Amino acid sequence: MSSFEELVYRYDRHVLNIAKSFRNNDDDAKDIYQEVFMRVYRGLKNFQFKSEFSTWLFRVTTNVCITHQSRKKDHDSINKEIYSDDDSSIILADTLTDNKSTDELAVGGDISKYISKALDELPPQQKMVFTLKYFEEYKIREIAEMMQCSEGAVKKYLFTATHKMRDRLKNIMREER
Amino acid sequence: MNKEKFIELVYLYLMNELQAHEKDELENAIMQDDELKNEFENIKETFNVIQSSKPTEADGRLLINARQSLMRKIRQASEEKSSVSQLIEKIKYYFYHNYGLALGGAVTLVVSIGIAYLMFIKTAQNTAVLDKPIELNTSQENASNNKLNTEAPSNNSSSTIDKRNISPQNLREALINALLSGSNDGIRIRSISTISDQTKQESFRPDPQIKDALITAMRSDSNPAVRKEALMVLQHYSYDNQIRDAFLYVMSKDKNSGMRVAAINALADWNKEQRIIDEILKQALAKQAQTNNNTFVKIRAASILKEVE
Repeated sequence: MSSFEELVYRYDRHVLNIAKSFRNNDDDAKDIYQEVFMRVYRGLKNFQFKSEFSTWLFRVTTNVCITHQSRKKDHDSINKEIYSDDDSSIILADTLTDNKSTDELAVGGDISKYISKALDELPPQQKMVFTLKYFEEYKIREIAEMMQCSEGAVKKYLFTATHKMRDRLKNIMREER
Repeated sequence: MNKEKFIELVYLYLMNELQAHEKDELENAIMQDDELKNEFENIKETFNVIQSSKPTEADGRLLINARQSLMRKIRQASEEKSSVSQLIEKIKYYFYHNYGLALGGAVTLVVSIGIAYLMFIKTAQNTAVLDKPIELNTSQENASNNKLNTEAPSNNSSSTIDKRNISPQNLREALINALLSGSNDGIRIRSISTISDQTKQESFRPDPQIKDALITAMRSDSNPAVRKEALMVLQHYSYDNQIRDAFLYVMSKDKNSGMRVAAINALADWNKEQRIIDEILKQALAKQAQTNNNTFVKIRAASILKEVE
């Protein structure tokens, strides 16, 4: 087994889980997984070990996830999602892949799909932070390291995303009661 | 604590990102205020819903599948890389196999040219050594002795050459080189002495090249003794326009007054023997009689002109 394979086998489950949580889709998760490790394979000779390998790997993973999300949206959407400058407001658009609105999904009782769809409507950075915190349970400090930003920025992304998700979930929560 | 701040603290509390004392403070605040407690419960419920809807983890099959695809892709990438190196190998093989003979020939030719060039350079250097001024053997008292030293620039060692074995041509070149290129004043004087000895021999025939060298030395050597020696030897040569011009130059331009006097004396001697005074000489002498800063030269020039008239 080559040393690169050893590295892959040591960390690839984490990478795949992040990708799966982020995209909630096996095919997309596999695409992200492959792109991450191909980038690592090509960049390994230039990696200077100034930081932990795992830090670098997860940084690549978050970058690829965010890029993948943006690319996917560009590719799939008929109507582009338009975000305001501060990422605080979102104009939603129906997508080709699922014509049901989030509310329709909620009425149907499929909360996971509802949440997944609501998450897809977040800007990629907010979604990434939200995923790493709620689903992968990383610390804010670790997320900041992965995404190469400050803890304050991570908190801002996180609070904004959580507010939005709460707003989206209010309806479904009322109906359930 | 305002509501917005409270909500953020609750988020951090539920995310387990608060310090112990911050947790205590928040818990106390919640316990004391029903409105905050309701808000807290509301947020907590939302959190539970979100966390309960966490996507399923990647199963083993997906992981294995992803690994296999990745390894296949990496193999392809490395094969692409190696196919480039294979192509280079093929080009090399093709080149060596088909053009090996031509390549060998070309290399041999280049090497031969290189060797020939080196040999030529060596020969040229040897020739240059032979062409170097031959240093007269200063250990000998008389320049007419048969031994000469050559300066070898490569190691500064002196070798003795038997003058009897040198052809007249080489001897002449050696003397000219010693006279014009010798760095030592003594060598230049010795070479003039040798030439002088030759002029005294019955078989002496004036050599134009030696004459040119003597004129050059007389006009421009830095040492007045050398210039004087050259002037004295030139007096043994037949008078002609070239000699006239050279002597006129020395008479009017030489920095050394002894040289100027010697030049005008030589012209006077020639005039006694051959009546050499022509218009050019007349004009030159007239000019010197008026302008030369040496009184003897002035008087001598005037007296020569008077004799002619």
